[in-house]
Amino acid sequence: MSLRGRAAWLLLPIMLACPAMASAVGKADKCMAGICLESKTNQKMLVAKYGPGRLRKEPGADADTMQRCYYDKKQGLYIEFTFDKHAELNTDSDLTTIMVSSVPMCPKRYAPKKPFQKFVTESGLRVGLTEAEVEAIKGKPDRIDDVAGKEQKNYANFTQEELMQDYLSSAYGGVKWMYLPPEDDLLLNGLYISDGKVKSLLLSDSE
Amino acid sequence: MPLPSDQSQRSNAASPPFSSMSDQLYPQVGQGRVSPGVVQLQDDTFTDDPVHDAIRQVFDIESNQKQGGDDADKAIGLVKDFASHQAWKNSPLTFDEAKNTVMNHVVKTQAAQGNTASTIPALVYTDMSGGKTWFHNPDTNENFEIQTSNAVTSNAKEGADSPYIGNITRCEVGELKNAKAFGTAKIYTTDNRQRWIHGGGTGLDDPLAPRQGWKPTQGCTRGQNEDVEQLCRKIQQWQTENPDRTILYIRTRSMNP
Repeated sequence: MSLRGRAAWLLLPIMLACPAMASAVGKADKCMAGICLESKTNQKMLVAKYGPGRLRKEPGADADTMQRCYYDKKQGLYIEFTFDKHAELNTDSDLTTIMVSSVPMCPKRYAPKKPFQKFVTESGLRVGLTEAEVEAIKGKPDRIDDVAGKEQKNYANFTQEELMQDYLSSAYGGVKWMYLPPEDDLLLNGLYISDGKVKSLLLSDSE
Repeated sequence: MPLPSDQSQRSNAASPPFSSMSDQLYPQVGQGRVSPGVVQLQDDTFTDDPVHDAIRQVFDIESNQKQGGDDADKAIGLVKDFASHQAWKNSPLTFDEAKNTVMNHVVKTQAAQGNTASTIPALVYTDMSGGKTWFHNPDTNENFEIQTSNAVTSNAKEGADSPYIGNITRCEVGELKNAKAFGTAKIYTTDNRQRWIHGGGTGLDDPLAPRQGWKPTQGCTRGQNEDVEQLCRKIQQWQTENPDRTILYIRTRSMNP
């Protein structure tokens, strides 16, 4: 048996005792509320299930990036889905980003046609967790971004609306814990944190 | 393909280090100097890239028919014709399909009367293996080069890194929507898979920084923001100065592996 195989057997009792550890560390989460990135989920499917929400699209005819925003009253969360199109002609845009926040992301509260499931990732990440709870689930972040600092230094000429739209605003959280993909992957998790708690949660496999 | 290190080079040199057919053909076409000697390539330059091979076939056929002729306009007309042909929109074709398509266009183009010097398009050429993209201005013979990457993700859709031939449509510089993914400049093409040339990179430390770093894509060509901005300005300048002329866009793997 290889060294790695032996190590896995040695770790098995620990992994069984603490199931979250078995899958969480080392790979970014891709699902929330039963909605998954890196799947065949596309815009048409989500709109059919949850309604149109608030549509935001790029100017021009290409419309290769679209965002749809909803508000889930029961969970007290704003949810925005981003879709990009990189498929063959006549297929709909793929889901590339799920952003969930307690901060208003749409100008109005657009209710989904059908209630969303709870916005918790497969490893247990959710808005409201403390830093310690996040670390227990995912380990140390690969990088910590100073969102507030960048907002002031790098994006001073942006409007607040633009910053919000690109998830660059410190309104989502003053720092962002990043769990990054390996070199040949895009899937990442970003947790916007203020006052020691997750205020917004980003899952993305966008370019 | 590994992501490049941040060593982008930009140049306005008259003769860039093309190791591709474009090097051997396009500048000469732009100057109206296509001849069999120029376009004759070695057999070992065949690749598995049908677009590239078909371009070669076009020029080989053209050369043979001309027997030393000097009709650059017709040659570029051929390229333009098959670039806009629907069959080429979703490359790759098989070699035979590509060859047949080109043959049909040769016949059509021979029958057609045509292109004058003022219709010769500019060229944006991405060498996906070599990690570079050029803008070629056929009037001035200027070549503007930037470093680009066509590294795609492990779960990208089938054919995401396939060659493509078509036209540049427009470009944007400045504050883009979904800026973290696309950066500060984005160049659109006729590719119906929407594989653009852009900067940015979701998850990078600062996707809007002039040299933001590298990250794979779902099929697009990525450059550094400041480089793509300059490329975009070249395109915009060309389009402003030449409203009736197109910009041919070719992305291929290198002819010389």
